[in-house]
Amino acid sequence: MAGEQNFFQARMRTPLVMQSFSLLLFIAVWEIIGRTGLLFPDLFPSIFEILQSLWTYISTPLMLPHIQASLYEIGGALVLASVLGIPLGILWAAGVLGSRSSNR
Amino acid sequence: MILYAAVVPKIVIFPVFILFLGIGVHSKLAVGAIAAFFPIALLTIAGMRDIKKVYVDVARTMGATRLQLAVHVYLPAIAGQVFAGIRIGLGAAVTGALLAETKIAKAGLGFMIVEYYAQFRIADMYSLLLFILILAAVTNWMMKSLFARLSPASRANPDASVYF
Repeated sequence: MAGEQNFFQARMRTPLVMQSFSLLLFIAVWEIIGRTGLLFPDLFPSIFEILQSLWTYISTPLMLPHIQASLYEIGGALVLASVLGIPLGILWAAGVLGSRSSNR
Repeated sequence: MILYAAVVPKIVIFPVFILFLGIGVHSKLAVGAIAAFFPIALLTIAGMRDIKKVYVDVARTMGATRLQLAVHVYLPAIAGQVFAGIRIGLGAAVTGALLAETKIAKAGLGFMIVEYYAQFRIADMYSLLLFILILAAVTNWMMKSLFARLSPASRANPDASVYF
């Protein structure tokens, strides 16, 4: 609808620079802690190291079986839950299965 | 009555699924399915309850059969909430499946995170977390676009019926 826009759409109009500011700040703080060895020097690897490792997962089939396994689980779970949940929900609400909690 | 079980953490049933389904992918699928079932069922019920009685009455007055009533009144009316339920269910399924993977598994992203943690490959662990984050966000965004296209209300008004 023209003229009207809800909260989320209004947020989308904020410039990308402003939206990514908190992310950039987070990365900057991460790098500073990592480089200076301020606390737990082993637990803050450089962001480039992380991105390099990420790139190996994307570009090589190393992680493929694990991605497949996880996607199969999540997809299967969602399909199974929908196939069971939607009809059961309709029947429950219609009162076919007894215990109809009416708040009408 | 069963719906009161919605607050039970689904991971506690995981040992049962390991016994029946083994330590492969299917026991995690079951945990994810149970986790996703409750939001989907609950929002479907909520959608059914939110149907305006006027819609049903009007259709009945115009002589709609039970099948016509179901297809033309009930289904379009609950679609928005069912889609919202499936998207909340996606979050629950990801949580359930990956959490189960971190316990006992042979493969999977959650399994690899714990592997890297155990081997102290911290950079690899963080990158895998980042990878899951991106994967989940992209899946969620794709679902939103798909549902926005499918939803009957949004065909009339593009802003309606997609809740988040």
